[in-house]
Amino acid sequence: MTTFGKLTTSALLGLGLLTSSLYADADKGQRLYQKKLKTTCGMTGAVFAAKHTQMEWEEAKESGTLAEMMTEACPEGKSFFESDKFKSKFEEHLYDFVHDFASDSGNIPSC
Amino acid sequence: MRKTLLSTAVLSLFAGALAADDASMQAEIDALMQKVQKLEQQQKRTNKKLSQVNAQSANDNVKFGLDFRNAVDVIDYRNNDADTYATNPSLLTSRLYLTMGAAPTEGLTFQGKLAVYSTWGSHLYVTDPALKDWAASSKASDTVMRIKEAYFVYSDELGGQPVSVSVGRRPSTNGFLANYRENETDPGSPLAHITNMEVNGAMVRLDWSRFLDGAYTKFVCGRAHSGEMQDVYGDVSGARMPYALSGGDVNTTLEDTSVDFFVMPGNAYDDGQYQVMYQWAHIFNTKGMKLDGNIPKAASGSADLFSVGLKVSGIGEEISDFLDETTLFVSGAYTHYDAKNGYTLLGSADGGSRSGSSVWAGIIIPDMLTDSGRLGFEYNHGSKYWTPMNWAEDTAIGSKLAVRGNAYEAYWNFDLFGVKYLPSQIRYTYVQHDYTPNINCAGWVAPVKTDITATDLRLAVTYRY
Repeated sequence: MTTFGKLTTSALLGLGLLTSSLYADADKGQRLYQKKLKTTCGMTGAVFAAKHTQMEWEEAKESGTLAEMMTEACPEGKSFFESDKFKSKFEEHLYDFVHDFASDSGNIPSC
Repeated sequence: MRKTLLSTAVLSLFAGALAADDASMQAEIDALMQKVQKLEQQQKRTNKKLSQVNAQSANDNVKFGLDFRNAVDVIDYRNNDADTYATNPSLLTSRLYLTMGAAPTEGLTFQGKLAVYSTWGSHLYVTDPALKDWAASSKASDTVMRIKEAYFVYSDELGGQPVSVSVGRRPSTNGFLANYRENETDPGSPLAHITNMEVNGAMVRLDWSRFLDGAYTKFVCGRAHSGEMQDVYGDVSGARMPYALSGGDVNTTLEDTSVDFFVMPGNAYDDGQYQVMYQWAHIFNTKGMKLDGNIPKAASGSADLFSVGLKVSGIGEEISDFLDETTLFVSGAYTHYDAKNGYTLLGSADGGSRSGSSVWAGIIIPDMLTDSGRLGFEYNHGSKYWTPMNWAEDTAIGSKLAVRGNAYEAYWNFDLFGVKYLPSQIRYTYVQHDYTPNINCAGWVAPVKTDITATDLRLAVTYRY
């Protein structure tokens, strides 16, 4: 490898290791929905997310009633939404996803 | 007695006063309740209006997105037979995607992508003969902005059958499985193992997910290459017949016929963890060699390409976070080129055929160093006559998926500074060509035994929003 290549590789390697705090991930939320809820709920993630507006999802998140609101949208997923794992592992990602694709989000589904 | 009467009177007065207090308090409570109800109604109306405004501001325009990537590629070629080599220690490129989306009404969407993909300090206009419309925005060239994608999709139901129809310049690059190495979240439409080209076409999509999780089939037909015709204002001899060919027949010297295709990609199954995709592609009038006069690039026959791929997103069920975030995939593909009488394809006999096959496997794991970083490892093998249609693959040393030999690749996808809007990548590709490198559409070239190695170290930083 040339000096240029070595320098840029080293720089990018170093910079890449600078991390920030964990952030929620709408894409991950979408995958989680597809994997764990799509069949149970019997609707696509887009339809599920569009059950409420962005403000409604936000309010539920802030008031700690997101699980209830999601259960209301998908009663068959009650046990999942009430599980400890939902609270500890999935809630943030799923929230990001439903907020991104809420009925008034204006987000455009892909082909 | 007087005391008792006095007490009774006092009590009566007190009770009366209390009753009066209760009544006024109740009246106040009622008034407050009315106010609260009024405020709730107002809040509901405000929320409704706000949602309408939000939806309108989001929907009533074209939404733009940005994907701006700067990269350096360190390239090295070694011809071990001839003992020659070629290198480029710093191919510097910038790629800008201006993405567009609009959804004016339910069931109708538009998606677009304008692209500039240039080498730093490039010529003003790059006119390499081999650079065609099907790879114009996928190969680094000049700073001209081109249309990479532009299509609308209309979705509806016909008798309970969900149907989508689309026309335009398709999202036909970086498809299924190739998005990982391109550090892209969502794959394009076709299976990248056999199709990775910028093309225009019409598509009908039938959704079967009511029968099988995630299942659908797309039927796409289009044109990858426009054949010979007169120019914008007709030919120079004064014929004045734009966009047509004198005599109405293909020029017998060139036989430059339009190349059309029919592609049928689909999802056989997708439950979010296990996904199986398939594709058949048929190419009409594919370019080969006319034996009489050894004329290259002549319409020489047809090609059929098949591929089936399996992707596993997450190993097992919540065994560990590492396994949950691991992705495995394997894909097999087969190509068959069938020449017409008087023609040859890939060095076939007169009117003969050539078949090739390929495997592609990969694993993507958490890097265990950063919050969202991933390490990817891929392997490709292709046989002597393996010839897919993926000339728009964004690998500086040519399509590694089209290798007739073996290719090994490792990449690290991470967010620079931990910022998710700065997806970055370090990627190393090693390609061992055992037969003539298969880097562009050249069905008139017969693959021969060779020993060429090509390597590409790419460092890329992207701003994506």
